[in-house]
Amino acid sequence: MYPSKMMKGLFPIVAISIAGMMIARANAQTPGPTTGVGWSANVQSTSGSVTPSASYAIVDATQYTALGTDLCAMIASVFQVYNSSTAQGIIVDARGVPSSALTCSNINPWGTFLTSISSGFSNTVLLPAGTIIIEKSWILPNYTHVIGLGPNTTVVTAAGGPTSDLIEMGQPGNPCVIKPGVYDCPGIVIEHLGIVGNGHEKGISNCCSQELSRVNDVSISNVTTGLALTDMFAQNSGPYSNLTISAVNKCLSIGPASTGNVMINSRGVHGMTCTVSSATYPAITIDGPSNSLEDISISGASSTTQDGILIGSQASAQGNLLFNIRGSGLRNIIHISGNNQTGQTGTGNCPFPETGVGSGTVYNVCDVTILGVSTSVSNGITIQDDLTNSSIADPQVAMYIVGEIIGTNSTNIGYSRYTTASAPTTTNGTPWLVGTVAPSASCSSQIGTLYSCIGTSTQCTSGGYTAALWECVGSTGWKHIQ
Amino acid sequence: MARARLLCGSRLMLLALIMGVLMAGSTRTAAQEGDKTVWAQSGASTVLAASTIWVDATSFCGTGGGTNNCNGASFDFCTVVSKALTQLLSVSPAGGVVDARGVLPFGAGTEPCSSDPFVPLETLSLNPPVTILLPAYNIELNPTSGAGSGTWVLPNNVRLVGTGFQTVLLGAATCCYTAGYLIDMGSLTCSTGYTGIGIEHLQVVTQALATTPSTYYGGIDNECAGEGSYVSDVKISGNPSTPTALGAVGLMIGAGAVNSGPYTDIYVVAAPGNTCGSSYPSNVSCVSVLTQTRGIHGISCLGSEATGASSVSAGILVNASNNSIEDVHVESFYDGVALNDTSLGAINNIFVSNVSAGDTGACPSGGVVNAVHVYSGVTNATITEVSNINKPAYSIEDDVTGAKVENCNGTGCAFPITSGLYVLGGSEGSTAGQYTRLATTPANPTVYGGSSTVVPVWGVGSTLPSGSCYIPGTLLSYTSTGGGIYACTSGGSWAALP
Repeated sequence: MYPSKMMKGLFPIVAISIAGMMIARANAQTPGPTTGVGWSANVQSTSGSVTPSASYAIVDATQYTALGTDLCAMIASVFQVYNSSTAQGIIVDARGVPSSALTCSNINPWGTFLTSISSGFSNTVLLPAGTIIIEKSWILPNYTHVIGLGPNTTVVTAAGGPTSDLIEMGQPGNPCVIKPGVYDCPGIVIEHLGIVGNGHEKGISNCCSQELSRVNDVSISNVTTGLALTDMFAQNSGPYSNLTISAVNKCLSIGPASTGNVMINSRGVHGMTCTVSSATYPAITIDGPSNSLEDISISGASSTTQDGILIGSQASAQGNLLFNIRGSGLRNIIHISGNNQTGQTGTGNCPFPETGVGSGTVYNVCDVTILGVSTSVSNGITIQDDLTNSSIADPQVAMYIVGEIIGTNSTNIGYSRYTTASAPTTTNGTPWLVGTVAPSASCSSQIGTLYSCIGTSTQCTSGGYTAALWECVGSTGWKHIQ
Repeated sequence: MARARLLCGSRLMLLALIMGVLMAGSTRTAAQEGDKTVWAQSGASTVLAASTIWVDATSFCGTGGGTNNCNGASFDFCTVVSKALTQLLSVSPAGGVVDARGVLPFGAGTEPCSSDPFVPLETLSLNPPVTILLPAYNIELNPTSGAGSGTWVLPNNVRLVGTGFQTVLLGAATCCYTAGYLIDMGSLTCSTGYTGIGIEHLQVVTQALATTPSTYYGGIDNECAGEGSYVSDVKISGNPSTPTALGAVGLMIGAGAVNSGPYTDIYVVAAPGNTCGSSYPSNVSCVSVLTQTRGIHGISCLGSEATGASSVSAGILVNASNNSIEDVHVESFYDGVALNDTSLGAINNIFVSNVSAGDTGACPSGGVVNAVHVYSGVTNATITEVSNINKPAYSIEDDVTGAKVENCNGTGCAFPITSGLYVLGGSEGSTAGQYTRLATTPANPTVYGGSSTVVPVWGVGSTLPSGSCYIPGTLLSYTSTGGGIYACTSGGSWAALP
């Protein structure tokens, strides 16, 4: 045999031998820090042939089958070995789990962390491509990062009929208990994932996950509510960004908090495409204060009554910012509720979280800033504001900002407001117009509108009056002010 | 005959080629320590080979541990990283990844860093992009060596990426960090411009001698790193177990860090673990901005409950034009967001939105006095959606126009105090004290807090304005039939415009 042939023949033998030794070693040893089973490999030797060595940088879930051979069982098996008693944290690489093992048994991979108060063990789980079928909610403990390969590539779906939420960011119990009745599981991150329910309650719910907890690049479909912030213990969470939510009753709900609690604030929802399949519910509800919703596109169920974003219908919702909102198939793209709460200690300029201790009435909403909203529905309403009884019919509105009560606390004669809405079909829109000639057209639907004439005195003369400032007084048209 | 010679020659050439490949492989292997192992194709077979773009630092932990890893080995984290960097640059001069996620002992504890891990990069005139993946573990910077040398100074194009909260870069208790900060994004001298420096998914914890506040120091300092430099998903904190506070700003963005950012998802705890009424050190700011940036988007900023609102301090200082501050939560500072508090000069074009000033509720100073404080010298600032749950407290204090918006008088008043829109434009005309301004909070000392000033607004309503009013200068569009525009007169009554 020629040397070349001999060497060529040796290559597969050597390779198979090495691989075989690795597999044999893996199977023969108990997984754990002392064995390095499932660890990633790197070159250890400084001379001679390539010698693989184990590294704890990443632990491959496929080598862990103590609790079963499906994806969830493999991940849970890893956490059986690596937890706060053996390590400080772990990167679990489950990207190599084959498609035949993606139907999970009735197990929450993170279940082992839910039995006691948080130990501070951090974990990052890398999920494989494919459709992962789960029978039990994934309740995530603190310091958990769940990362897929993309919302169209890694899809978590539910088996069976409606039972519960698919993924929960913490829970009102261990390991999130700070003190009785107070919960926080910080540092929960969900990224690059698709979630397909089977009529289940929510795609992702956050009751109890606060600082540095967020959702990014996630699609959710076939659930009743896509994303829900369900209690005050989700404060300071977010941002919730780059979301695609479809085939749901409701895409997003922020609050109301559980009984006795009041929602606080979030870091906002930035970038969401929302498509609802039901006309029964608003696509988005905001029943909490201090949230920013930016770059939101909503497709309704072609209803003549449906709201895109409904603010403050159930609870206090002051201080919210809405920026770049687009809608179709809806009656109202944004609906500012006029609901109020009775039994307050006072009547107040704005909502406050004291209930059942007085006789005052406080409206749920004040101080809403809306910048850039549009509708593609002809004859639709861009903004329905029940506080000022205004229906803004302009298909595009650059600015609509409603503030607080003008008057006294007990006498509400109006709200501070600025808007650029000026369509004739708008009800109670009162923009500040500017032009180079005196206003002369009818303005019966724009009573209270202000007009600044910046032309020459000749140009700014009408009806025998020359003025730089005019007001609309209704059927009699424009009246000069000064 | 000729064909036989040709075949013989071909076989010799093939043999020489194979031997050459094998020899070259041996040579390369000698320089491949730490490279990630991958399967490679060799003829019809697969063999183990080294990936040069990705170096695993665990190979440099030394011996004495468990099975080919760092468990139980005696090693210095930064020495290991430095060796891995050297290895990476030798096999991949164009840059790559140093994976140090496995460089940790198992079980609770702290691993030391007693040297500068970035030396291999500092000797280069042009740094390639390098990503360093850090483990979920406490890494104590410079626990034993001399003062000032413990600070990590990140070279150009270096990205530090942790695993989240549990990757902790821990300052030492006995070291002074004369540079003032635990991490510098580029050198402090700005002798050269820095770009592409990133810090992600980790926690920075300073600690010092609890009884010696003079030894306290700050978190991250960016004096010189501009384009492509950012901080994301990072917690910066004093040490809650000692407890010790930050001795300098949590995140400093200096004048040379032009166009850096965005700085996103930041959580700063300036003074953890303190108690009410203690003699805890005074507040230091969570963030200070001294140049135009791509903004601070998403931050929670917690100050000292002991001194918080009772002393003049600011959670977020903005002393430069052209910045956006969004999605903010602040507790335990006098000012939540302060614009131009040092009055270094005029600043303009500032956008502030969604500021929520909270109150820990545990201490009298746990709240915030001014959610947003506009100091003199500011023009063209847009402030939208600000709330303050403290009581008494202000949503807005504007020194430029002298405006204050305080929550309401008496018991049972609304809180938090909120302001939907407060836009301060520029000076108008030649008369001093005239500014363009739009606001939605119709503040006045009768209905709002007694310290409130009158803030005229423009409103809308369908109820006939009549009787007294408290906001002279306010306009109200009365939209019912026969309506028009009414004004609140200086005498305190509503009157239709003439």
